[in-house]
Order: sequence, then structure tokens, then C-alpha cells
Amino acid sequence: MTGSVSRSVKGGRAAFFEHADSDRLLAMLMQLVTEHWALKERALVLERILVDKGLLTEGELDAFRADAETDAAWDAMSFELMQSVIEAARNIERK
Amino acid sequence: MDTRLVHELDIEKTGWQRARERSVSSLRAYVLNNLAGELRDDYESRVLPGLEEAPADGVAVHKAMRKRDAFRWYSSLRCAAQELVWNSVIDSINRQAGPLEARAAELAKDGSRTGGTLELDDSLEVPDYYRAVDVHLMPGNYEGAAADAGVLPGAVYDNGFNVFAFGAMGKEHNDIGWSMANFTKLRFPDLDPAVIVDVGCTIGHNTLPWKSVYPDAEVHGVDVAAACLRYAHARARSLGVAAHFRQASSDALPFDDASVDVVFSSMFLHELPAKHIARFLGEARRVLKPGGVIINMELPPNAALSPFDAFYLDWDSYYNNEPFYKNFRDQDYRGLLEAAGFDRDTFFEGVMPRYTYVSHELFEQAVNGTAEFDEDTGRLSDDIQWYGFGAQRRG
Repeated sequence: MTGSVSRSVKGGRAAFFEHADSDRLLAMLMQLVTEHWALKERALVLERILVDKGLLTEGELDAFRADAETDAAWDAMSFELMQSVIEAARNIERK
Repeated sequence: MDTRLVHELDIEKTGWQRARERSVSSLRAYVLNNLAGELRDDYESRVLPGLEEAPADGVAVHKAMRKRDAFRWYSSLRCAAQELVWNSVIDSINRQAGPLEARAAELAKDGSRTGGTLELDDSLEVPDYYRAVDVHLMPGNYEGAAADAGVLPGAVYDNGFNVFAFGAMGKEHNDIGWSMANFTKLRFPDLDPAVIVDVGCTIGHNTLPWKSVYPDAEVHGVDVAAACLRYAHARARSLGVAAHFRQASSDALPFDDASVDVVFSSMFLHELPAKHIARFLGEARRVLKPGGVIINMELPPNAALSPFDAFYLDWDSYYNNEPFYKNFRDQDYRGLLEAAGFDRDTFFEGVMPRYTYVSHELFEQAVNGTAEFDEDTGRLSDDIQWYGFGAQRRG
């Protein structure tokens, strides 16, 4: 039988804020930052490899400007992401 | 969203930076359009029907709403968005502080571009209220934390504004200047101003359109913040507009009696404690020539709004470091001008669409109509309307 390591901690860990939910959200936020950095580093790795292989020049990504149509489409996508994240909390009710 | 500035003080932004700004603008647009709509809906559909007595004013609406989830979400996310506005630009500015200062210094030295000038006054005593809080949660306020902040606080304001306004305040965030100058021209067709003064001008974004509307006039900007004025001067040079910037307080305008044709302010009175408003309006009357006009772009008075709309605008006073904003908006604007010596019957006010977003004809219709207040008056959204009021000096 293959075992797996549980994430639960015997004895738990302390909460410091008035509401333990604040500590929980903070812990989630830190996990998210870690994941965010992982994605960021991945993008940096891709850029490095593309530059090394001559498919991209140094600074090309930063100099890139989307055309007006693309720019507007990305505005809309960014708005939708914000909306979907905030609205993920919509159905939560205290029962 | 393109957040490049259209002058030479623009800073190089990385792709990461531009993406971050886009996200912050999306958050603000969502909060100020969608969540603001839900806040109103919660009040009208659920809170109001449950109250024994309908709230008489904004304070009563605030009391009824502050424990509501709709209020908490709107408020907490709006504060977060406000912090992100500044945070999203400060790193880029700090990274390029040296080149930015050098470019501003070059522009300031290059008198061949325009005849604009800059006069700073090291001995100016800045009023205490000005140092008490960082207005709009903007780190360092308009002056920066250090006395030798150069032009950086101006850059924070200019770049942050771009993200803050999500494109709703004009390409160079100067629509208020365009709108008020054109309003003045349409309302006072016989006025041929030789001297125009923008008081509390910050980086001069709303000062410069006056020079376009009245090309023969001498256009001045006055502010207490040296850092913003340095930036304003370099910015105006870069844009090729001759404007004169001077460090002075609105308590003592650096102009002779009866020497000015138009005194203009925008989003300024609500930053002042009552006694400084009175001093400024008195100063405005003193420097105006007979026939001269004072016009203030402002948020509408609470008395003209529904209790909910009053509450909505008062939010900034409680939660966005605008300590004098509500108190100002509780005043009778006509009465303030009258107390400063303006004749009561010269009072005027107007609600108008954004000049650079509509046709001249449509704008003209609004200017000639009576001031109609609605939920879009002064509320930053994609349908915002500006409010302006003022008076004419008679004798």
C-alpha cells in the first residue's frame, strides 16, 4: 500500500487575529503568492530559453505593445478574471 | 488599457508592470460599476423597505448600511484597489527615479520650448491640515515624504491617476479642465480673459486646457506642493503649453487686487477645512477684476442629492482620507460665495457630460440647461457627469 503524507497538524496551530478566519485567509494568501511566484519564474524560464535559442530578443517582451483590438480584448479578459474571483464568494451564506 | 503618458516624463514600464496596472484598473472598474450597483440595489430592495422611517440624509444611510455585506465588500475592495493604484506604479517610478529627475531638470532648463515659468517659495508656510494625512491614501501625499523629493510625487500622482481613472477622465486626465474651460466660454461669451489662475493645480493637468480654449490668456497654476509644481512645469514644457506655475497657498494668492479674469479650481475645495475655504473664496474675490469669474469643479452638494447618493459620495470622507470632504459638501455653495462677498444673484452652477467624450453640440445643450443632478453626477464611472459652480464679481 502506498502511503501519502497528510497536511494536517496534530495540535493545530494558533490563530492570532480576532477572528481565526483572518489567519486562515492569510495562510491561503501566502500559498497563493507562492504559486504566483512559481508561475512567474516559469515565464522567466520560457523567456530565457527563447532568447537563448534566438527566437526572442532581450527586452522584446517588455517592448511588446498589443494593438488596440487585442488591448481591448485583454482589458475585457482582465475584468472577467476579477469578476469571477470576486463572485466566487457569491453563494456563501451563514446558515 | 494604454497607460502611457503623452509627454516626456513617461516612464518605461515592463510588461509585468503594464499587466499589473491593467488588473488594478479592472478591479476598480468592477468595484465602482458592479459592486457600487449592488450596494445601491441592497439599499433600495432590502434595507430601505425594512426601515420604519426612510433615512433623511447620507449619515442615516451610512448607519443603516455599514454592517451590510454589500457595504463591506464594496468598501474593503475599494480600499484594497486604492492601495493597489499607488503600489502598482511606485516600483517603476523608483526604479527610474534618476533618469526621470534628469529629464525633468532638462525640460525645466530648456526655455526655448515655451515661455512657461516656475517660481518656488522655500519660505512658504504650508498649512497644518495639509500635512495631517496622505490624501486619497497616496503614500507621501502631494509633496513626498522627503523635502528633496524632486518630481517623484508628481510622477506618482500622474501615473497613479492613469490607473485610478480607468480611462474615464480623459487621455491626459484633463477632461475636467476642458469641460470647465468650455463651460466658462459658453456661459460667459463676452468674457475675454487676459489672466486665468488654477488654484490647487497639482501637476497642471487641468490647467493646460485653459490655454487651448483661451490661447491669448496668460495661464497660471498655483499650489503649495513644490514637487507637483516642478513636475507640472516640466510636463507643460514637454506638451508645449506656456503656463506659469507658482508655489503659494490659497490663503494668500500671489496676485494683485482686481488683476485676474478667471479663478478656477477643480476637486480642490473639498480638501480644505472650512476656514481655509472661506479664505480662498475671499482671496478669489479680491484678485478678480469686476466682471471676472470664479468657477469651481466639485462634487455636488449633499442637499442636491438623494440620501443614498449623499452617502455614496461621503464614503471618501470616512474611508479614503478625505477628512474635509463631507463637511464641504454639507455646505450651501451659493452661501459660501455670498459670504466671501460675491453677489448672490451671480451664482451659477451646471452639470455637464465630459467635454472630450461628447460632441460640442451635446455639451453646449447641457451647459445651457439647468443643473440636473442624478446618480452619475460626480460618481466616477463610465457615465460620469461633472458639476461646476461659481459666481461673477460685480463691483
